[in-house]
Amino acid sequence: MTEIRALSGKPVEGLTVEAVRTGEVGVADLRIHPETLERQAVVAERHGNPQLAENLRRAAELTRLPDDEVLAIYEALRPGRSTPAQLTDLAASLDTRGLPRCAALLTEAADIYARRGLSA
Amino acid sequence: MRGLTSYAETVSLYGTEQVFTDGDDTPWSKAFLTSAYASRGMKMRVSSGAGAEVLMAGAQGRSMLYLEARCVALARAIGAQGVQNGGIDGASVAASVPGGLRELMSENVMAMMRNLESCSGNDALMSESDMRRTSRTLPIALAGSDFVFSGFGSIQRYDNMFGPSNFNAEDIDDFLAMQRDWGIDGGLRTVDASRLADVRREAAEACRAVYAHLGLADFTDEHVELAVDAAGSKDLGETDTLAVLAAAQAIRQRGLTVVDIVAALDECGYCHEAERTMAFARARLSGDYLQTSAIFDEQLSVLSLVTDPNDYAGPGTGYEPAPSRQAEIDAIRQARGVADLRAEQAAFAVPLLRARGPAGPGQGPRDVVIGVSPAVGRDVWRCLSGLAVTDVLREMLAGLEEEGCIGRVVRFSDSVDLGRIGLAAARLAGSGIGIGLQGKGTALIHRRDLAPLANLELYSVAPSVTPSLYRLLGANAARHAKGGTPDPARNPYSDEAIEARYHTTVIALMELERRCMVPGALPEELSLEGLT
Repeated sequence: MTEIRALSGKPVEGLTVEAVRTGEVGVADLRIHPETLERQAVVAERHGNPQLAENLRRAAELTRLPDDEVLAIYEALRPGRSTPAQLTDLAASLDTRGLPRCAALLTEAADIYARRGLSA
Repeated sequence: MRGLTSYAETVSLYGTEQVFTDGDDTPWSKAFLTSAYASRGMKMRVSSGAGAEVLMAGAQGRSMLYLEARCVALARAIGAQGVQNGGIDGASVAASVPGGLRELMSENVMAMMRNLESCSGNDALMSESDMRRTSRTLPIALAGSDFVFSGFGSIQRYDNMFGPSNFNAEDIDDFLAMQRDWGIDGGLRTVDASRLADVRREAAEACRAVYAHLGLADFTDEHVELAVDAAGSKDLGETDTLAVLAAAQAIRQRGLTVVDIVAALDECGYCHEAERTMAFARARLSGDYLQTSAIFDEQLSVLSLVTDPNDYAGPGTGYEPAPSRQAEIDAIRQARGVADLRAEQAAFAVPLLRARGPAGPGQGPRDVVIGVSPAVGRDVWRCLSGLAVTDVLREMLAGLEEEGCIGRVVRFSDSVDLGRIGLAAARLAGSGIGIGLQGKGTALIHRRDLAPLANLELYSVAPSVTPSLYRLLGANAARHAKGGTPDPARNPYSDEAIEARYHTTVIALMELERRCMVPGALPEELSLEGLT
């Protein structure tokens, strides 16, 4: 069985109340690791749900971003918030930073939003 | 994002573009949000259901089922693991059209057909009619949905800004009985009241300690005391709304996380709670909880479509409760047995009806025997009507005396059958007339030359018989003894569900009678002391 590690790299077994007591646990120690999400994506695929797998792979990419940025992208995707160009730029930026799946979602949205009048 | 929760729901999907936009989202923003939750290890399910688009004036002439079909397809497409549907807040809208409840069930079936977690949606009270709201939920429970309720409502009606749930905390005893009636696992269990009080006290005290430790608020002893028993906000006394705001602001500004909570619990001596909270935080790291239909069991192991696949393939297949779980379902708190009834009867025992020796045949023409069943004066002291057996006998003896007859009380221990007891009493009586009385209060008048099942007058509805009716029975027995004309009683008509309410008690009372039975035992004369 593969060892489970937190985003910080710490093994899950080390994350105990005792470790909290000695101040060794931070929030990054309690965040899921992208490799874990990739493993779960493979499991979802094997159980006939490629859409769930795709979602988990987008999630694996998003582990790289801080909370504020994740929320900002969500806000940008809400109706009437962004121009097609803004969404396309954001997509390009995500792509270069190693988030190609999230970038693809934004690119698709930019196109659809423009056609359906959902852009700013 | 601060690890304070492991699960998110009510991420709404809608069936038309207009309503989606009015809800300030798009399928793409919701798809992103779905991934965002997963990126922090959080389980999430989307919500949709009949009536939402109609209520938001954007159904565009489509049927509720069609619009929901689009929502379920979208849920699968964006990679959500599951759907909370089945009307939800719009259930009453679906219920207003023909076949509406079939539509609600179809929503759940569509989620299952897409291989998604189906959370069947207890959320909104569909109707104020107890029968209709039960009719709405029962098929879901019988079919064995993953989650009959997305959360059995425990919020008082006045506190629930969404409106009360279709089943709410005040229905818990009925729901537990429904589980037991059908032998199904509806997800709930009976908890001992003292255990509940202990858990609530511990929770209230732990919350107070954490709030105080983190400098968020100071709750008084009185407030904690109120919280232990409170059903809703009205039971908590005056709310200091400013304190609530200040605490909320502090949590936000200081960026408190689950690590702070664990540390606070630990330092305040709530070690078990600290360990448990830490275990939940660790569980988010494994991601097993992100798969379809995942729940934690009591050891925090994950059960999901992956670890515990759905093997339903028609009636008689799929999930069956394990024997231990079935026993839990069966053990509802209102269940009573023979031992309970024996104790209840013993509480009414009085030092009367002492056995005086063998009963002989009576000589006088005015001698009437009241024959009582084996447990009378032993284990049975109170009739189904709530009258004491001794009071019943007092009335009968008084009725006999009013008409100039002399009553005796004789216990027949060789039969529990009222016809046989009455006939045996009649055969012992000098007048040839006897009264039979079972401990539960059923009574009749018998004559020595009749067949056991024939009788002169019968009070069959024991729970409704009154003292004056028993007196009348005594008087009528005397009239028969004298060859006069009786004045038969009218049946005591009642709206009570006599059978539903008393049959099981009758069975237990008859068991007490049966255990006192001695085949071939001779009749015993009982003392009239205190009865006349």
